[in-house]
Amino acid sequence: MHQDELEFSISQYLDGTLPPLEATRVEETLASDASARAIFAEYQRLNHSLRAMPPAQVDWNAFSASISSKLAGEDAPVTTYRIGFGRVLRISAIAASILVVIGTSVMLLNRGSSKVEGPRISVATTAEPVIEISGPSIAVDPSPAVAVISIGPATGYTDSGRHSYEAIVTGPTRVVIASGTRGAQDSGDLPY
Amino acid sequence: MEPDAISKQPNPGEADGKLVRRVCKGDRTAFDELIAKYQRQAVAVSFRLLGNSNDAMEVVQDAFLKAFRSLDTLQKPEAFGGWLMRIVSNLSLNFRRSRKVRQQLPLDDMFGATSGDESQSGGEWMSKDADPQHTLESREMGAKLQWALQQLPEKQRLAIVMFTIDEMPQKQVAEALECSVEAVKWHVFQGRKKLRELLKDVL
Repeated sequence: MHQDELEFSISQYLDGTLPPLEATRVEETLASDASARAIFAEYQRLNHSLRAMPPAQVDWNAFSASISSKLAGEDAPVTTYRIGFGRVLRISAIAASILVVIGTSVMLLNRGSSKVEGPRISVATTAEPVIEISGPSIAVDPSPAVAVISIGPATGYTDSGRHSYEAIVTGPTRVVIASGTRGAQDSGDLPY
Repeated sequence: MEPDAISKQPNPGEADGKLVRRVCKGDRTAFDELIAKYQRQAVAVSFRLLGNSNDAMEVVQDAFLKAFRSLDTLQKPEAFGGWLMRIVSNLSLNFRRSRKVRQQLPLDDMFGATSGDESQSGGEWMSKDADPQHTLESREMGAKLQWALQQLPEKQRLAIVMFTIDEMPQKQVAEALECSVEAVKWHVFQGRKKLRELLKDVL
């Protein structure tokens, strides 16, 4: 056995922490090796000297009472459950992974089951945006639209030979609706 | 050859877990139970690291306050003991560093030298008889041990203090040092080996 190993074994043997089989081996070495016995004896004396050092002289009751009185002003410790930053990060990473997997699965399923193409939006990029609107052309008469509604006797008072008031009261009504570019005054067909 | 009998304490984790859960539900008396249970161990560890009982008590008081305030952050309530010792050792080492910066205070009551009342300092090697020669030797031995402990790297010193001197269970030491039980064994061995070299004239 190497010297350092032997001393380590002796040290443990002295403390009573050596497994039984190894303890037996050390005992055999101690029985046959004078230098090993000398080391063991020195370690023993060292232990005794260290343990013989005087303990602190303390009035234990007074000491514990003084600690308790200091603690009286302290808030009682409360068990709290904190989620550390690392844990939050882990949970976020797991959640993100799940979302990515679900999203990818949904996309793949849609691509496989449906052949219908959705609306396409194509954006032509030019230096300046241009919007063109095209549709059926409408011919627009540049003159203003006029609607004439006149109410009066079916025939002119001059034709009937009656006075105009008679024609209004007794004659049938005439409705003229006209549209045109000319003004109503220009119709030449006065209702009254 | 008989190995040293290290007290095998039952796993206190289960009971600690219940107490911690009670405190978190608002039962302050449960924390008083934890104080009563761990105050000696906590002061002992801090005392070995600082060499002064007043400083150790101040640190331990702070450690209990800190533990109470952040009890709700304790992941494994069953590991309260190791967790508390980690707070105690960290605060002690910080205190020691700041003290080093401020001034070098005497390690008074570790050796009972400056108190002037030797009867207050117990301990097997701290002589209680009237033989001045024996008392002087004891003081010298204590001073050398304390000096040698301070030469160790922090992990080795903590492992020696918690496991060898204060006889804490290895699992709890592992929790306090945030390492495996095997690593605790290794730190103890390395610390022991260094102490043996440093103290070869007196051992």
